[in-house]
Formats: sequence, structure tokens, C-alpha cells
Amino acid sequence: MTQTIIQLIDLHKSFDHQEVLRGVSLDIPKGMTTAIIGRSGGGKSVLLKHIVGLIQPDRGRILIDEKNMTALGETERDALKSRFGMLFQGAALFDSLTVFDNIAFPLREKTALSELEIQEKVRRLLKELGLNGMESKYPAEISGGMKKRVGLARALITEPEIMFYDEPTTGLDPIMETTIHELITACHERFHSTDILVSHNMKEVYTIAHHVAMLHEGLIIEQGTPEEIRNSKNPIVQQFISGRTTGPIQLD
Amino acid sequence: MPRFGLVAWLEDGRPMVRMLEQIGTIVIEFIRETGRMGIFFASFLTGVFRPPFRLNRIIQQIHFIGVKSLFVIFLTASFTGMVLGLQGYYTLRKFGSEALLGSAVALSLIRELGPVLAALMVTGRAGSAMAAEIGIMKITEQVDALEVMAINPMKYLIVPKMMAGLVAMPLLAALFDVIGIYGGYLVGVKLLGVSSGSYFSEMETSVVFRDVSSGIIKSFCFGLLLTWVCCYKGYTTGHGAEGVSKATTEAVVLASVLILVVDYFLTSILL
Repeated sequence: MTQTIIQLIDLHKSFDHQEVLRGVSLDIPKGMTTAIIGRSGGGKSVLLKHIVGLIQPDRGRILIDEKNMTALGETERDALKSRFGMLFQGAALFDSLTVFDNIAFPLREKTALSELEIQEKVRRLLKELGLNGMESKYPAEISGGMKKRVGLARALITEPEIMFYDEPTTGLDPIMETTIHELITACHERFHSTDILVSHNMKEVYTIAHHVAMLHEGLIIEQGTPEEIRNSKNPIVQQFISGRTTGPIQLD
Repeated sequence: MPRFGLVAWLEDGRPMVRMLEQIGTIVIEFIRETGRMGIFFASFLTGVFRPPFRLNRIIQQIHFIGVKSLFVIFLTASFTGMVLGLQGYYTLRKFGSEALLGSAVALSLIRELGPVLAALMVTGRAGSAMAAEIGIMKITEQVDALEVMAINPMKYLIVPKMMAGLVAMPLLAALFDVIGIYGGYLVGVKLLGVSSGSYFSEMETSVVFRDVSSGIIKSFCFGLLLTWVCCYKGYTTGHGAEGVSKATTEAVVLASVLILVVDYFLTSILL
């Protein structure tokens, strides 16, 4: 049995009287890639933002290494957050900084490394991610796929234990999609990190996830290995993974 | 039997309830917004006194608010001073006291127009930019990215801007005063023939330290006020491009109105 690193217990969250999470409970195993799947607008990103501490739940607990994230003081929470890395849906690069400064940002702000060491680390990562020659460009001047890679580099530069990917390949062409998948897998193997992936792209989930949980109408309705999900008897899961328009899921 | 018109309206009672509900909603929203702004200010205060202190960021922002506003301050100050010279001359001439022109121009600039107009110009130039910048950072998840990196966005983004407002505003107002006085000199002395000696000597005798200090206190308050409002509006922006444009407009309008309102009360206290 693998160790659990993140435990979500009965999370509830409403926005303007609309219930987005209605009691989500989920154990995320250490050192594996867990995918959270579900329909667009179904609360997957909201769930992810709860785990990283951007949103506070109305009710329920988030345990990371058995520490209750929601009850911690700022200093302890910051210490926990320094183990996180996150790739945002829109990359969320700082648009007033160059590619180089974006990647160097977490090191400059959070570590005592010298500028020389920072430069060396950033250059090495740039090379590994195929971003050579992009250092002095601004985020507005590069393509969507490159932005994602820069975002990935910024998240990875601190060698986080827990990586969060919020729809890492949405809006990218198939080749770039495969590239990003290969990068995610390579990083996972190198750092032995725990990865949490939010996605509605089943190809992506089958390629990189070890564990899959489906969020539907604010609840986790099914979880298991990708193989188990593929063979699930649950009609909602079946309709989702095959992408049919007819079935128990109400289209709005 | 169905009733019509006023009788039905009064008997119905619902329109009345609805009207009261609407008034109530507006009042509650106003109180909430005030409270949120208060909390925002409180977290600014805690951010100021807790490390890390980002001196570099503050200097950057002073450059943005202060140095980059110089041109617009120069233009508005010189024309304000010139028009004061012109208006003052024609009014004072009626009483035969053109010699007092210098003190009239200086007092109105130092006590009132310098701090207020400089603050309004900075609101338009830097305040709107601040609100839009923070708003865009918010909707593109850049603020979230800071938070995930365990960097407090309040300390990283807001505190430097508000501190810079505190430092830059009095300096800009002082500059406004000086340029305005020379604008008045240009029109009054060089154009309309008031003697240069009396322009400056009258000024020297009539402007006391209290006038200068009240102007400085005012511009301190305006600097804080305008950066507070603009940062708050940007930070609480709604969704998408429309949200940012609304936040920017609201920031400029609210900051400008508050500057004038606060100016009245400050004047009544400091007078």
C-alpha cells in the first residue's frame, strides 16, 4: 500500500449559492500522478485551488502530510507551500518580466542563492526544456506552447515535492501536447514528485496518470487506476470517457 | 372586482417593499464595500511592518508614480500658475493691490491647488495604471501564482505602491507649487508688469510655515488615499476585460471624488 500525502476530507464550497463542491473526499498517494477528471466547469480547478491554499473551503479539511492546511498559521502554510509547484491553465507568467526573470523569480524571492548560481540553474533548465534563446523575450512575444514550458520551468526550478498541473495542454497542438506530456513524465521520474493533474483530456490521463478520480457534480464518483476507470461499470464515467452526448449526464 | 391605478398600487404593497429592498441592498453593499476597504487597509498596515521589506520594489514604484509623472505635473502646474496670475491680477487690480499677486498665487497653490491638482493628475496617470495592472494580474492568475509561491501579494504588489504614493505625492505637490509660482511670475511680472520685487517679497511675508506644512500633510493623505483606492479596486476586479475596465474607471472616479471630499475636511481641521 502506498503512502497518502494529501487527504481531502468532506470539502464543501459554494459560490453565490451555487454548490461547486458537495463533500469531496479523496486520498492522493505519494510519489504517483493522480488525475482529477470531470466536465469543464465541474469544479476541478476549484478543487485544485483548495489544495494549494488559494481558496478556503466552507467546510471540510485538507491534510497535507497530516497537517491541516486550513488551520495553519501563515508561516507554517508558507513553509508547506514552498514544497509546491504549479503550472496554471494560462501559464500565469508575470508579463512585466522576461522569460529568464520569470523562471528565476522563485529562486530570487525565496532562496539565498547567489545570482551566479541562479543564472546557472535557470540556463540549465531552459536548455532541458528546449527554450534556448528565449531568455530575453517577454511572455507576450512567445507562443502558447512556449508559455506553458516557461510556466513549467518556473514551477520546477525549486524542485517541488508536489506538482500541480491545471489542464496543462488545453489549447495546444497535438505535437506540443505530446512534448508537454513527455516533459511531465520526465520530471516526475527525475524528482519522484507527487503530481496532481486536472484534465478532461482522456488521452492525456491514460498517458501520464497512475491514479484517476472523477469529479462529477461536486462529488468524487469513481476512482482507480486508468485501467479500472476505462472498464468502469458506472454509466456516468463511461459516458464521460467515451464522450457520448446521450446518457445520464445532463447537457446544459 | 379588479382595481387599477394608485389604489391597486397602494393596496398591493409590493412596489413599496421592492423599493425598500432596493434601498436596503444599496446601503448594505455600501457598508460591505467600506468594510472590505478597511480590511484591505489593515492588511496593508500589517504588511508594512513585517519583513521582508522590499526596498527595491518601493524605489521602482516611486520612479513609476513620481518620476514618470513629472512631465504632466510640469504642464498642469505651469498653466495653473499662469491662469492664477492672470485671474489674480484682474481681481486685485480692482482694489489697486496688484502688488499682492505673488502672495495670492503662492497661497492658493501651497494651501490648496498644489496638493489637490497634483493628486488628481497622479490619479489619472498612475492610479489608473495601477488599478489596471493589478486587475490584469488578478484575472490572468498572476496574483494566484505569487500566492502559490508563498509570496504574499499584498506585500509584494500593494505595499510598495502605497508606500511609493506616500513618498512621491508630497514631492510632486511641492514641485507643483514651485512651478506654479513661476508660472504666475511669468504672466504677472513679465506679461502684466507687476514688479518682480513685490511679487516675491509679498510672498515671503505672507506665506508662513503653517501653510506649507498643511499642504504637505494634505499631499501625504492624498498619496495614501489614491494608491489605496486604486490598488483596492484593481485587487477586487471582476471577470475579464470588462471587469478590469470597470475597476479602472471606478478607481479613478472614487479616488478623485474622495480626494476632494477629504480635502474639505482636512482644510477645516488644518485651517
